[in-house]
Amino acid sequence: MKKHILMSAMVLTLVTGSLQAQNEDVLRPYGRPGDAQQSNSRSRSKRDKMIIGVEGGGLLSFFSQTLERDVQVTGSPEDVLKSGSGWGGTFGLFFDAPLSSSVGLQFRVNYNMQAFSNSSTADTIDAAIVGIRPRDGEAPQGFTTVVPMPVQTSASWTTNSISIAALARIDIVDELFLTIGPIASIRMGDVVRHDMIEKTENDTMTWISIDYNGVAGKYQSIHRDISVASNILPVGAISTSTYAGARFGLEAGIGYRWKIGPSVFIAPNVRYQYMFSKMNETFQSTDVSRGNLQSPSNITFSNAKLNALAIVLQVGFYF
Amino acid sequence: MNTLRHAAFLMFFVACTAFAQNIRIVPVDHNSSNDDFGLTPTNHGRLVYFTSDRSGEQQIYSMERTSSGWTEPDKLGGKVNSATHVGTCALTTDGQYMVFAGYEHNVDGLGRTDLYSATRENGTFKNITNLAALNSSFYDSQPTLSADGRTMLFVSDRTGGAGKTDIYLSTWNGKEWSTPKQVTGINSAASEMSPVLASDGRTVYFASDRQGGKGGFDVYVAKLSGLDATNVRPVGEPINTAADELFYTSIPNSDQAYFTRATASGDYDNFMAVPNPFPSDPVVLVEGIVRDSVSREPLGSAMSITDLSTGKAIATLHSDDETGRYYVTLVPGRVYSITSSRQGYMFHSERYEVPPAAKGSTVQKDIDLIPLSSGKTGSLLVFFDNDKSELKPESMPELERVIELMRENANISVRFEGHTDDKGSDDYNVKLSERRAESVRDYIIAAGIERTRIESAGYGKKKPLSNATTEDARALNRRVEMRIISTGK
Repeated sequence: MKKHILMSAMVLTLVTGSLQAQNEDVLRPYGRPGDAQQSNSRSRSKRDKMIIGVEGGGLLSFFSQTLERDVQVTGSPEDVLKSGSGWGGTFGLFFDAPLSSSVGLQFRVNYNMQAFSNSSTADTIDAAIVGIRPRDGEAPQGFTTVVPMPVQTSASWTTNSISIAALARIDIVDELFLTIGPIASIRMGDVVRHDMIEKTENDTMTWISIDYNGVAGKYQSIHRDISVASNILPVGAISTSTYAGARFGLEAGIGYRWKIGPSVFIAPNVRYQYMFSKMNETFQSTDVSRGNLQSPSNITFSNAKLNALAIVLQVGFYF
Repeated sequence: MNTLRHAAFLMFFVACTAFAQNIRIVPVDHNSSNDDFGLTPTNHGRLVYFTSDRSGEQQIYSMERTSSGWTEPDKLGGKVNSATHVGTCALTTDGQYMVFAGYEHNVDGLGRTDLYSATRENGTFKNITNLAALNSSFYDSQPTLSADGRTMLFVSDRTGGAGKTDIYLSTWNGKEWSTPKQVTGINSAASEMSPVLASDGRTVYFASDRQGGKGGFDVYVAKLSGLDATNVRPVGEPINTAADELFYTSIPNSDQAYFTRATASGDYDNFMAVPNPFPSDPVVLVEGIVRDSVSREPLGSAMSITDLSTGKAIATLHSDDETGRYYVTLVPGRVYSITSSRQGYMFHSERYEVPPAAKGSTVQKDIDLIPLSSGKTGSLLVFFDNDKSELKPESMPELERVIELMRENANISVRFEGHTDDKGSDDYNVKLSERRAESVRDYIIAAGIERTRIESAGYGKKKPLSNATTEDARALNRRVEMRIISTGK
């Protein structure tokens, strides 16, 4: 973690430091010769306008984690936990302090509402796990017959956070600018995951025989909301992991300022937030979805990452 | 034959050397140890503006030329200098309209260094406006204005140019600046900088670091016609040296020129070259003071110069709010009308013929504006054929001014009074003067001004302005005057 924060700080320092050299004035479009080496005793171009602004827009989240199995099984509902994506929203405040004509430091605080999900309609679980319903007029057959049962599976996450970014802003040409710098994300409340397993074939022979609380029944579908990282099946050897309270990463973006008034501009802005921190720690669980017809499979869930692409509109005010 | 050639060459060389040696290069007073550049004269050379970073950032300063030398440089007040860098200004001849370059000005621009305009009010430049029609998102700077304020050259490194920085031209149509276009024949793959358009409107000086120069930026001179620059040539030594020379400015009707040179200590300073080896064509400098005809107080007023042969307004200017002074440059051999107007006053129009032989002269022409409340009369610049009472087309601009005055002052009533010279009988002249006054009256009524507000009368030759019998005196006496007979108060 410390290594990542250090790396972000170094990027910020290098970028801001190296781009203060070009000091345009009314006589010299490209600054004085050798300006970068000159001391500040000569007139130094220093933009005197600071910016304060608000922004709002969409946040496209990308979740991923690694599932490592000791035994490979096909069509397991657990596989929906490998990844997820989806749109949420973000809004925030920013402050830009100029360092030179083309470089500034930008500080931003955002409230983020992230939502992402994954689903599969081609999963299969062994019906022995959930039981077989007897035919009409016949005696119950118990759980001795095992058949594969097609199911649809989904997992949907929602999480809110406050992010704080300290960015270098570099004007490339004209009003086109880049931002790059470290970002911290602080979780606000629980990460809530909604799990769902649902039969996809309308037969009268099979049903889901146990819900997420271990209560036996004849279910067409089962649901739950959980706030810890876990596997998705309602049975099996379950272990969990809590979600990280704070995560750190690096953000890089590009934007374009359009002046719409003497001291006002709007700036469409696209940026990618790559988080070095994991969303939760490694945990293990047993996948029993194909435990009868294939084999139980132990899964190690690790390297859970949540990155995001933000597309926002900034409204800035010079002062 | 060879001997003759050699002798001719030797004479030419000696003449050139003597010529070069006779040009004195002297630093202008008040150069600082920092950059001082772009000396721009206005008010017929009595006042100059220049750029200096003596205070840390580039700012515009002014100083006046008095009998005892230059006054101390004075940094412009107001908000012109409210930027990281401001400078390279150009002014109209009257010194009332300024175009300048600003980098990160408080009045937002379109990109990097931009062009701005400002107008002088009560001694301070105000109304700072970004010249968005001229600016790009690139470097736009170093403007120069023609004497009539209707042509601007400036430097830009926008895309599509011939080199690093190029010289562009835009014209003012009375409402807006045209889309800038590259001046042809002047731009190269190198950098062209610091164009200065001389008062004759044809001679243009600029600097370039193109190959073949003495080193750094050298000064070149060319003749400009529309967008085309021809006869481009370096001004040579001793102006051009291995150092940078820029902002060559010919002082009208003078043997002096200003320019900027990089000094051995690395900064830029302003210099004067005497005599000016490449003077611009001589012009006629007209100047005067606009006053209240009753109180004699100087007045700021809107002024316009119209070429009566074409009917086109060729310049708009403003007499100074504090001193009432105005300055304008005219081309000899034409007939102009000079009009001055101000709220609460009857406008003043005057026909002014500049003979071809007037080149190089300075003419004083003071103007008295008559307060509407004074009951005095003012002559109208209207024209009739001999013995006729039909208004000639060149009268129309003046009549339009009358209509505008009456619309702006809806309570006033006027009387048009016709007068003739001393030729002919009294009876005939009275009738002719009556008909001419009625022609003016009818034109004004036809424009929608209430009939009840207008009277007309003819006095024939009874009220001459001059009792002489010369042609000039007779021309003076043939006139239609307007008298304010009621202000409605």
